[in-house]
Amino acid sequence: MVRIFKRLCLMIVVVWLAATVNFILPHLTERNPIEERLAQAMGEGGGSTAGMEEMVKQYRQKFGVDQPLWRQYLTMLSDSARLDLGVSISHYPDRVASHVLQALPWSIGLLGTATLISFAIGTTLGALTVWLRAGHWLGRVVPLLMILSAIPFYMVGLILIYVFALILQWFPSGGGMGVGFVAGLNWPSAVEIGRHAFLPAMSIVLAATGIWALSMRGMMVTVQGEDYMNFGRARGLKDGRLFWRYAVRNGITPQVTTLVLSLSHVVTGAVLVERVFSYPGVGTLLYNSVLLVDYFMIFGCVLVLIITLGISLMLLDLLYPLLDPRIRTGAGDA
Amino acid sequence: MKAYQGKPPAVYVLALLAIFTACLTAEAAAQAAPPPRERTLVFVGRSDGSPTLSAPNNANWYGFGADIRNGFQFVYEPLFTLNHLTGEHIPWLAERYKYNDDFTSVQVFIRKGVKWSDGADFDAEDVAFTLNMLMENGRTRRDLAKSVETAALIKLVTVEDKLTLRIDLNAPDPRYIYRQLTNYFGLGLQWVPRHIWKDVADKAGFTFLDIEKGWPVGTGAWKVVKTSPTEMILDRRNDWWGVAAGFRPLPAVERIVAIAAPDDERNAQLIINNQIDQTQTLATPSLVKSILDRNPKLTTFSGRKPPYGYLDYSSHSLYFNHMAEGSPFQDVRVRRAVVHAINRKQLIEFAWDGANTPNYTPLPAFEKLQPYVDGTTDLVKKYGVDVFDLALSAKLMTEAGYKKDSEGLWAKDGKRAGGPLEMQPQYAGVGQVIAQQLKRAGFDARFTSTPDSFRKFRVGQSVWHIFGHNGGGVFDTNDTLRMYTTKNKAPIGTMSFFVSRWSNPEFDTIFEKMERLPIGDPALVPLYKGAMDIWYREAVEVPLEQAYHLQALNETYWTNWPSEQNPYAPACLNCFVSGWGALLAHSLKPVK
Repeated sequence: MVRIFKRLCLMIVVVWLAATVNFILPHLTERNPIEERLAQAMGEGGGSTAGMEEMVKQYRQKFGVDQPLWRQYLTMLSDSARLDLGVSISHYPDRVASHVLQALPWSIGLLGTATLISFAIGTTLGALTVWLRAGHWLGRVVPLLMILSAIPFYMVGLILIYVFALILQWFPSGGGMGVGFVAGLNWPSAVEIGRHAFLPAMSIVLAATGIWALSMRGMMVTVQGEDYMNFGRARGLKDGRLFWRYAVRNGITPQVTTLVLSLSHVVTGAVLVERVFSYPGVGTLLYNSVLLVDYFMIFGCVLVLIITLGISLMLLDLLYPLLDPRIRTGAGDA
Repeated sequence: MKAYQGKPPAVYVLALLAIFTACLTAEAAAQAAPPPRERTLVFVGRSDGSPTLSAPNNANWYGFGADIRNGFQFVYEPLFTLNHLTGEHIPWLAERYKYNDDFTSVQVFIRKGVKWSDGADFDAEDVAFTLNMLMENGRTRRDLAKSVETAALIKLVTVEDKLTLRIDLNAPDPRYIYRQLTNYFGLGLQWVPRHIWKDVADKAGFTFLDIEKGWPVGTGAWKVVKTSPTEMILDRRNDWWGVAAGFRPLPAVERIVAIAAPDDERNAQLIINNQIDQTQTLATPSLVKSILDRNPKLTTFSGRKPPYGYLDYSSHSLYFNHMAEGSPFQDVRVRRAVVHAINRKQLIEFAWDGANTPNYTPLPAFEKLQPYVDGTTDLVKKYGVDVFDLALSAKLMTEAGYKKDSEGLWAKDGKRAGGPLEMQPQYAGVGQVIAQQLKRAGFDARFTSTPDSFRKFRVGQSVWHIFGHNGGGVFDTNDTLRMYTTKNKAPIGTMSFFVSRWSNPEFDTIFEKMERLPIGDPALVPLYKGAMDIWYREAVEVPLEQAYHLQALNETYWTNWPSEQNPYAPACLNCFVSGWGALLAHSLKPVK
């Protein structure tokens, strides 16, 4: 219980520190998003910016950015504690939380699925290439995946768009759904969303599988030479049991750590992939907010990441002993 | 628990899946079928380079950050609109207007039979309410767009009868009708329904969006049925007032979809695959040409040939920031040297693939402005504005006390003539050529186009920059000339679209005289010439070339797009609050 309490306190400190940095950084810019938005609107109305200064003053007051930075910081802390992320500058008068909540399912759906698929395929392939020894055809797949993993996600995405959306026209080139499609809880919607998610998901899977495979291969090489493996073989255990229960189970622990960290990043989306595919996730929202210097939206998106990351790390800390009994007993320290 | 143990879990999973499938199928059957693609018009809304629509949840144009070019423009209608390509002034919600003799008052006659989408009558009370709301706000809270401008222009609004109102102005203003009552580009006001807005306390914070309630309430032929950060959907209102009033037939476009597409690449992908019917403005003619090559059903305003678009009001110039302290361009000889370093022929060849025309004035090449351009041709010759001559440029720099340094760049007292040449990304093609030409002439021209460039030169943090003339004249020179008046010269640090930050008292006096004369008055041409004599003498900026709206139009589903042969409107669905979007959507004809 004391251990859980300690971890909880640590998590709160981590979240607070990260939130502080997240608050300060966007405020370092010289840009004044309120003036920019007003000037844009007024400029488009014929270029005259008559009365703009007064309007800027009014809206600075409304957004609370006329206050000294320390006061804004305290307001942010108290609002964040109540999970109130404030009002968006770029989507005024919408609440930041409503936009984050709207974008979250897209990012979680896309990145969560893609991460789990690439983890499952990569880990299995990495383990099998060592298990099946040299000469097996699988040994040639992993180097190919390694080449793909050296190419950034968004670059793979561009290639996929060119081949499968523009040349073959099998999949849409972007967006979360087709133009004008009104989604509901039905099969056409599921198919539509799936079709649109396929290429972005593939770009992540193709680029990430090799990395999972490589790290698992390394672990499997280490595990293969362990005494308990030789003992298992000597006892005549079946290959399948040896592979899954002895080799993979012992080799997978560091993979799980990385998986949990990767999944916690899912909430902010893959900014560049979402940008390339015009995918309506949190990555797109964050990109957009940085572009328009929407302090509150940037803060909201990053705060969600910070909290998710903090909770994930805490859960990982608590769950680790279940995966590896040596951690629970402290045997590993010996 | 016992029952569970008795049956394999797979049975339960299958049962759950069956229920889920049944729910999904029932939901699909319950949804009404949307209009077919053949009756749906899809265009790219305004997103300012981001992958989402700009402010899709705010239908109140007077509120902070609202941007009603993402679909809301089909909900509202103007009193009048202007087709600047032909000069035609088109009555819409109003039938006509009438000035008094000294242009201090204007009567507006509203069309009979106009109705809001909730069935209430649209009449003079609604127009008066909107104007009074803005005037009152402009004098007090000042948090509504256009409020300060309205308060400065209008003295009193009187409703004479249900369909007639009189607007008394603070000063004689023959152009008032074009400043607020006619919608073109971003000019003109939007009219709000008095019966709803009169009860709203915080008008600036009011989004006027509630689809369940039928908001926003407008007079247009379409209503919003869905809005999200990535798209807005509007469906045709079969009870639109225009049919019963005999104004126009019901449009063939049953559904309008505005989507976001952040960049040219995405626009190209979408239109090549026939997913959209119109792109947003594209950057270069070569891009438009490559898009046309990939889909035979695509066209442009000028057909499948250059310039692949139509003329815009925002002709391009190389600007000097006249208020930048210590700028080498404070010296008129240096500015003149820059004028002679620009080779427009080469610029157009490289940056526009030949599909543009050189410009020697701050005006766009519209027919109604031609007398003014013709009237100043001798000034262009007198000041050598059209002369590309590197020797002459070097002579002027030497006269100004500059010498070439070890790198062949002009310098005086250790300071080079130039600095970062700032511009927005859409000017990059032009800017790169200009920067090279200036470098060859010995200027320290550093091509600079960052996400912050636009802000920098608008607040006066740049010594020179490339930009258009936002809000420039299309039938009258005054909209352009006012950019150079003392009244509109923003101090450094204040954001402005009038980015030369130059003024001259003599120029101001001429401008004030021009403001009192009606549009088209013969006395305007000599006055314009007088103003431009000062402007050219001072080498205020370097006009470069015309601006074109380069847009691909798709004829797969819709025909009768505006063209050179039939320029009934600018071919722009997302152009501001102009009324052009509605004009287009009313005029398009389905292929099938």
